[in-house]
Amino acid sequence: VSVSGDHGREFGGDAPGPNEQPAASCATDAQLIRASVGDPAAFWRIFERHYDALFAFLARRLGRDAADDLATDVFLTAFSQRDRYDQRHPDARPWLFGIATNLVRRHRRSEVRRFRAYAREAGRLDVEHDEDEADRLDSRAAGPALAKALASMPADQREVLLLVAWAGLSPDEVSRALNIAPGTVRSRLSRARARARHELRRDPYEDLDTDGPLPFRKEATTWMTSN
Amino acid sequence: VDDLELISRFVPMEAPSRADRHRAETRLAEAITGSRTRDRRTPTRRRSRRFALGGALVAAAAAALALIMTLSPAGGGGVQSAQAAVEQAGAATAAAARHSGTVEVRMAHNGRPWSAETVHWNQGNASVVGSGVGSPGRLLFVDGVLFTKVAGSWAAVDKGGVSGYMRQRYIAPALNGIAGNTFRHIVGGIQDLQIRHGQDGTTVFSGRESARLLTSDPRTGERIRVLPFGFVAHGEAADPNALLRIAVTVGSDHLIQRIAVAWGAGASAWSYTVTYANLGNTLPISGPPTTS
Repeated sequence: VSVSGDHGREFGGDAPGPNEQPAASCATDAQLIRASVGDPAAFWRIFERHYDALFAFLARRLGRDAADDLATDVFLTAFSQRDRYDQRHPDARPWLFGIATNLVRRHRRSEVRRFRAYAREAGRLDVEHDEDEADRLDSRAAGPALAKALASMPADQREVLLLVAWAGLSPDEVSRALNIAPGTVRSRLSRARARARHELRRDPYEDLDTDGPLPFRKEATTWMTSN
Repeated sequence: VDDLELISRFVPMEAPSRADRHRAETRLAEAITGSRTRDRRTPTRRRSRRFALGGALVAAAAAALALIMTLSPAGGGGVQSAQAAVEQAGAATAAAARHSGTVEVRMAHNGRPWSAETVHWNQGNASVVGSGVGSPGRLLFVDGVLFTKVAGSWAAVDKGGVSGYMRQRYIAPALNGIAGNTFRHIVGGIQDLQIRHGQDGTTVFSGRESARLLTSDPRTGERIRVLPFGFVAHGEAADPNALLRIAVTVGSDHLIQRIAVAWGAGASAWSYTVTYANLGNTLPISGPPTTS
């Protein structure tokens, strides 16, 4: 159950058209964060706006159990640092995902283990139900290779790649999230994608642990040979 | 399918469960309320919880109105007596609203309803009915549990520690927002005070006030300000040089009936009206008949 927030309704300004409702839009994150310095409750709206996305991002990187704690830690950290938020940036997502990335760094080994496990078990991964069948199969087939690529690439490249691919940040936003130069972001992203493409071109199962669960390997092999 | 697209979906998205969200809300609520407690540490005596819910708004509104009169440039004995009258009305209203009451907050644009919220409170329980832009819909806060309507059925939103925060978020703003700093900003600079006595025994204190700058849009530099209930004003309401029209109506029973703020004209006309009713006479708030 969720209840819509009450902070940030806007009004005033230009008159609406003859058949329009008066203009109403949300206050920016920056406005809310600024307001929350004096009125901490305003920060609740930031939580409502971004909690799901942060949770999903962290769950994909570290699993649900870790995401449960870390997603909250992101907001607690952000709340404690809200007076330092750079008001030039209306969208707080880069700031929040930057905090999340810092927290994930403490779990780097766990993340790599997770991707290795994916590489072994990707044949069983479910993908979104509404995807086209061809894309679904593409994702299934690509899973082991991508997981292997993510597990093996340098952490700084992985951070950039996943902030783009999973958090949906632009390179400039990643630059802000990680406090690094945009050029550095682009070069890391480029190298990370090159590594991913390299793994995609290889047979993703050729060097998997042969002690891995046999049904996964059989399932994948069956698919690859039948297509 | 390019590599980024494949990466974006090869690990399925997972949404937080209700339990996940509940735990997160609880922890964040603790942090926020802890911060509030620290922020509000003052040497004044502690108010009761019930008073904070019901009466505080009127008391503070009275203080705001006293401020109006104090700051009014009209000066003179008329203002002094008006100030005394409003202070008296504020005190009486606060006393009447201590245990129960009803407040209705309406906004209109160009004469058409834009947003409305009605809050009934009785002892520690409250009911919110909202409509229009940004409305929370229907809320009930009964015996420490917050309920809302989901797909036509009542559902408990949160219990325990969170509900206290939810009350602060949804119910107290309907009350405290009127009385808080923001409202004082609205009414604090009233000019050209006029007093009008109606045949029905009401007295209307009215005047104009320069819109005050509270903050600005970081993207555009546009002057904006935050009004009660989280509204952010643009345009004329945010223009420090624009004059808002304000009116406070005190009934023949010496209780505050209505506070209204308006600005703009024609297609740009806005109004913000707070109306009190049934102070001390609002019926007890019951929980929903059934919950899902």
